Amino acid sequence: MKRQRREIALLIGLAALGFLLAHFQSAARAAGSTDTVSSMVRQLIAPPARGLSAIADLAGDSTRALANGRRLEEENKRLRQFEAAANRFQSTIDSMQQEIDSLRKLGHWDRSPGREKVAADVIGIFPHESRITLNVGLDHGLKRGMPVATYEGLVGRIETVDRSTSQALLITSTSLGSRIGALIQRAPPNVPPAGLIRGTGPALLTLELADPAATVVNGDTVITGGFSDQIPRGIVIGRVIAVQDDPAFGRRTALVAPRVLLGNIREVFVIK
Amino acid sequence: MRGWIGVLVAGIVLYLAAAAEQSLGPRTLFGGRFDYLLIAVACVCLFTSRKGGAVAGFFAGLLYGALDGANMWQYVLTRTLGGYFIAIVASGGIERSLFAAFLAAVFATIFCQLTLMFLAPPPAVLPFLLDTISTAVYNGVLAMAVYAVLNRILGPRKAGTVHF
Repeated sequence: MKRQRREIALLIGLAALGFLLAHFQSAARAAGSTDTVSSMVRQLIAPPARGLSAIADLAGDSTRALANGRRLEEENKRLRQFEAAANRFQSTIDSMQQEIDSLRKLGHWDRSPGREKVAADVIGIFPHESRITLNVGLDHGLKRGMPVATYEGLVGRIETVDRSTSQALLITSTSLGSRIGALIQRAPPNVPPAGLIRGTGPALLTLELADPAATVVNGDTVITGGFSDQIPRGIVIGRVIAVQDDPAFGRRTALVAPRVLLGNIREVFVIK
Repeated sequence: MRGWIGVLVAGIVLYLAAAAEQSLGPRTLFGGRFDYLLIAVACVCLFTSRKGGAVAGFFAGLLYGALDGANMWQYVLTRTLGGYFIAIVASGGIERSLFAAFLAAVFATIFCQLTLMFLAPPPAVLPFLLDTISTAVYNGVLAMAVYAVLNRILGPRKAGTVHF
């Protein structure tokens, strides 16, 4: 009986300690940082986790190389040709960018976001929580709210940052913090319909359109709206797969499939 | 002294499991995935006292919550209870075996994930349940290998019991 009481007391104590730690964790997250315990755990776990990742990558790459060696070689050749073609445009882009910069300076406008990209490795993926851990942090100039993307499209936004790592909330997260302004891509002079996009499931987003009469069809591309000082306009988010009308509330929403396969990402960049 | 070896082994197992969870957690093998921390809890708790099981579960929850940045208390609570219940059954005189390790891992996965589902409902329940079932089976298989290693190190139950 006494033993049982002691066990129950221990369980209650551990649960209380869990609540306390969770309280510190939530408070730190609200401030855009990581609590001390989580930060220590991540730093302690990082070295063996990196080793295991490297071993798993090596095993996976070797298997793929054995199975698709010839195809990969051809693909590599093709990609080198693309790279050479892309390099030819770089000087033109650079001179145009300089022109934009000097015009912004003349007009006394703020520096536009999205000019600098910080490459990062995904060192942890937590699909149930719609979060990923990156190996870059305050040391690389990261701040809360910065967008995380791949060359295919938007992945999420930085939620917490500590010295050498950060966590990003994926765009598929159902949390309110994951909502961002979005546009349906339209060629000028057509006005792109705008709305707020948020996650509604593991591989689904919902775009609530500001104008219930906006013309949206399946297959339309959804991009970031640039309505914030951190997320630049034009990053691809996904593709419309269904449009739903709610006449009772005068609402039109579009279901969007994200462009990036969020479960498979290994490398991303954070846009500063 | 033997007890402290048990504590050390349990700590190392949880540490390695957390590293595996961080780096290999989302990777799938033939469509299924492992939950390394739950495997560690299930195997360690077969060798612990009831209190030891609760403490091992607590640290597994703490590690998971710290790594994924989720609300830590949900993981702490579910894993603490899961570890405690496995240790109750294990200390109730059942014979430890590979099959017992399989069952412990299946139970740990289903119990902890289902209780977690009520505390933090996922956006899509059916995929979560299907994932839980497949993960439970995968965990059971890997737990047998982990148990075989632990059994070699910790030896007979009485000598290897972890006292906290």
